[in-house]
Amino acid sequence: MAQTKAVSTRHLPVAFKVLPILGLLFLGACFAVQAFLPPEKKDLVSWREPKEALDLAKKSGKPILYDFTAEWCGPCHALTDQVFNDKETSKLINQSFIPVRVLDRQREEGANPIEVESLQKKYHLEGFPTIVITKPDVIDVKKQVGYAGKDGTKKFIRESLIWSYSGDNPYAVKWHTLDDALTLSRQSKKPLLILCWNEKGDYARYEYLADKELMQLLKTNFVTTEFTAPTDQKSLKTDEAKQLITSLEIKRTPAMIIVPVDGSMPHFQIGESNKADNKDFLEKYLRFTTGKKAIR
Amino acid sequence: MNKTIMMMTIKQFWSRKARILIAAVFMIFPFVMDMMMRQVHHEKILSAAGSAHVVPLLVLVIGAGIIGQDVSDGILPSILSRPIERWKYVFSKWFAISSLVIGLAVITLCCHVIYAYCITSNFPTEIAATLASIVLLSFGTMSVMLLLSSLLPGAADLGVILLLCVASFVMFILEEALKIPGMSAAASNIFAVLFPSFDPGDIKSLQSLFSIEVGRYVSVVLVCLCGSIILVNQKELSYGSN
Repeated sequence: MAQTKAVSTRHLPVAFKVLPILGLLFLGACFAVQAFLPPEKKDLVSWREPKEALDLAKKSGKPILYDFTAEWCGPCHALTDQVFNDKETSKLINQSFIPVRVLDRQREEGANPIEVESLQKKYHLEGFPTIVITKPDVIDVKKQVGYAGKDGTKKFIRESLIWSYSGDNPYAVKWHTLDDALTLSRQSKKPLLILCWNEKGDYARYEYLADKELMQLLKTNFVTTEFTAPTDQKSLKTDEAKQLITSLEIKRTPAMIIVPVDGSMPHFQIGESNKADNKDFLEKYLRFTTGKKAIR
Repeated sequence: MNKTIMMMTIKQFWSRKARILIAAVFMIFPFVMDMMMRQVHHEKILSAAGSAHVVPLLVLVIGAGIIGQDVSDGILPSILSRPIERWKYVFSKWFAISSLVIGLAVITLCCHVIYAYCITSNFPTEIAATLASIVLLSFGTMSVMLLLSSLLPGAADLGVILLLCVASFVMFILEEALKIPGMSAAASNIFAVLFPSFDPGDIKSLQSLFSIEVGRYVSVVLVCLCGSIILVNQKELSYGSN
């Protein structure tokens, strides 16, 4: 009679003893690759195709950021490495813009695709790299020709973002330095409005200021200044500005602070808030202090 | 894999009404998030990523005590009184719960996509990435749960995971409030081991396949899964009156 060999319930294929060791070896290999191989170049910005970008911009209301670049252009690579591959900036770009990379192939292939050619003509391209920020329904554009360095380009992107959300920008707010703003505030008898951002600047600014009425309110009723916290006291020229910064003790950002001209207590709006809240904050302050409706 | 054990595992879940209720509550989570995003940020295009966030919660609810409770209730000795290899029992349980969680999370994702389309007239972004995250998170988190469950009796595995989560939050707060360096990094590592996953979108070349995130995921899943099989294999079970 044939006997069937019963398999023990404790029978364990060798694979289950080997696999954990292989898993740990793989983890070790990953650490080794990270430690010894040069870091891989990754594009942190999610670039879109020009046509897709236009549709997305119309749908979402976000501005389009065009990066006109070329393979042979050294500063273009610096711009990509230092700005577009910077974690915080790429996050801001992905959140707040529809980014489009327009790659020039004139030197390599003798001609550019029609799409690239028409975009270069449309925005009167003068050199590489060029960043153009625009919105589908706005005629005017913001343009940076050449590489203005890491900080300069980041500043350009941030300022363009606010600009793009104030439409064709008839009431563009002038941002003064704190020293100048204090003098202007005294002279014009308008309260000082301080906007304080965090060091990383990752808060979506368009959510904070992107409203025509809000921008007009700022322009008409306040002397405006913005800076990054914590502030380097050395960058301030006057003792008055230094004293003001010390007395305000700004620990959280973003912060919107109104400093009245008569030296009374400042008014704070601290933490993330949207444009409607900010407008409400300014209007309440104006009603409270002047008893009148805000001038627009 | 053993189909009977898989079916039994799924039936065990359906017979626990409280767990079904809690799982259903968790499945509403992405919709609440969407409503908040619409109210607070006035977003015109929403993200589907919220659907992947329910996966760890579903694993905790459905997978708690996956082996420990079988041992405590005396089910395991009766199952193993039949000629079923123990590794097949563990593997089938792991696969059954992971598949159930994936199924529920995919249902949530589908409803989420429809809901987001209804309120914004735009399909949410990151649908494919969310689907991949659901699969990775389900198998990953379930393997951690499996190891803890094979070590601890009853649903004590859930207690340990919740305790580690609380400890991680305390560590985050310690770094934020008392500026103790390294606390956030340690807490992030605890989370990465408890809920292993990686972004499949990051894998674009052979080198990116050897990232720490991928290595950690593979090693955690393999060590936990094989570890729990070895542990169950070595368990001395009483076939007495229990």
